[in-house]
Amino acid sequence: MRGQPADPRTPLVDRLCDLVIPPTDTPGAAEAGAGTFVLLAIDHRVAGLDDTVLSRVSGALDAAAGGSFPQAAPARQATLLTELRSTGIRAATRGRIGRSKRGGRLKPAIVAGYYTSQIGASRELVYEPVPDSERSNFKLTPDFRARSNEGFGGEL
Amino acid sequence: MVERGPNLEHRVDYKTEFKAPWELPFRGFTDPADPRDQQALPAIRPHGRVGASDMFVDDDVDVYESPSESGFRWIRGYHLGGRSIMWAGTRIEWRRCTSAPMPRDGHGVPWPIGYTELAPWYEHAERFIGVNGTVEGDLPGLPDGIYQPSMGFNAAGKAPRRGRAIAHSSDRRVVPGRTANLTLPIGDRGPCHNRDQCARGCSFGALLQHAELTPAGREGNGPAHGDDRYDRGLLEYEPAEPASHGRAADRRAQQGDVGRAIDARVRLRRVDQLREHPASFGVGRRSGRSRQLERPALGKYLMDHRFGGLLLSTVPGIDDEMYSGRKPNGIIVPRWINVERRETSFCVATVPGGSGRDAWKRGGHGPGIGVALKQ
Repeated sequence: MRGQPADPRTPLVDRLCDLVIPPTDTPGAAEAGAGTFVLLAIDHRVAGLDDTVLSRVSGALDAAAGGSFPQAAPARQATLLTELRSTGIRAATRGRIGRSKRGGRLKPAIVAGYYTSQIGASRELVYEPVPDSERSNFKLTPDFRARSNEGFGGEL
Repeated sequence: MVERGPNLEHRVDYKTEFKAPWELPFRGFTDPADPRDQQALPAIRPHGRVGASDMFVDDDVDVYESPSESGFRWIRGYHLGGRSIMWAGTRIEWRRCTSAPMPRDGHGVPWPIGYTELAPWYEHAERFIGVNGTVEGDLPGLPDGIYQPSMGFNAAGKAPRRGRAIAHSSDRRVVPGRTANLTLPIGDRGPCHNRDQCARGCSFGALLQHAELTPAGREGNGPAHGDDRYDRGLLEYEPAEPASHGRAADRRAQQGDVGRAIDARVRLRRVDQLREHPASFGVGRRSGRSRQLERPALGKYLMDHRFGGLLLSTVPGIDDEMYSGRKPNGIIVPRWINVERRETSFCVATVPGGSGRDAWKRGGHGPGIGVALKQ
């Protein structure tokens, strides 16, 4: 918003968003505004996220990169993030309430931020606010696109 | 059915009925700062509560007390229809054993009436509100009723029927859920569109809400409700009775005012006039200087519901089937023990359940990032 100072956390969050859900034939998580949701969730401590999460992740990624993670090549960033997840990023991203099974983790917030955005919900997936009153079971076909409505609400 | 608060009009007063998640403050997820999200809402089915917090009472504002060991949660909505607006329609007929004069599970107080007296009214209500379900042969733990076509099973809902515990048992069953969501229209109320957002309000009228609450309301016969009021007596519904005036107090005018008749077919009777129904309602009397009416029956013959127990399981092997829509319904495992008598040390109830595909959220909790995750 004009006149409002940019949130200094935005570049890192947007980069993480696009590493988790990159642009393809549809926009990635950053363009969809998932980062805005992630910061909102952090600021309001949704699902155990708190303001220590980003600093922990940032520190862990910088350490893994042997320097500045944001300045690493995109492919290298993806590798580092993947390795970090598989070798303990979950622990690194846990906040104070991180002992809960799903508490304080960034990836669920990024995924939720994407698929509850207008782009993620209605362009990447199909947004179906009023399904037909005829409910039926059917065989999945290769061209089937999932409904984003399946999964709204509840916990991250 | 009558509750303090305003009447909510279809298509006008449901603030979030058609809101998309990106239009909601927290995209429909729990708001840590909203006490209602931390109070009653977690007890509501996750999908049903999305964006519906404004429908619920803030327990920090309207405090109630209950024994701490009871775990009792009083879910309330201050509008005409009360929590019938947000109840999502689950309607499992209480069994003979749970509404018997003496509760066999040891909880609650004996009722003045039993299942035999209630059964005809179940049918009356089922025709009126519209309940979907299947007739299963009047199982001991799950009596049948008058049903609209069932919402049926999805692929995973059928799976327990093939499992050893059910398929090889003579008394264990899995049946489709029974809910007050229309599958056929009734009057100007349309069928359920499988949105599974009942708690936000349903302008389709597929879930019994607001103006459908009384026959007079459905028939459009004048002032069906005295909304935004509280009563000072007991309401008694007598369809065959002529109109009579009762006393109602307008919340806005404060106590003491004599209100207009609430409904031409509803008599509002003073509690101390209920001597003719001592067995049902007890006898009210004035006591002390406060001259408050004692109502020995009010708040007594209630039935609570066990809530919140949760068991999750994955049904493997259903890789090529999907369903359309999101039916606000699931499955029922009717009570198969402790039906006629207490057989175990624990109280077992009919088990409602549901099934659905693990949607996009699984991407947030599983491995992988990048294009593969997105696909």
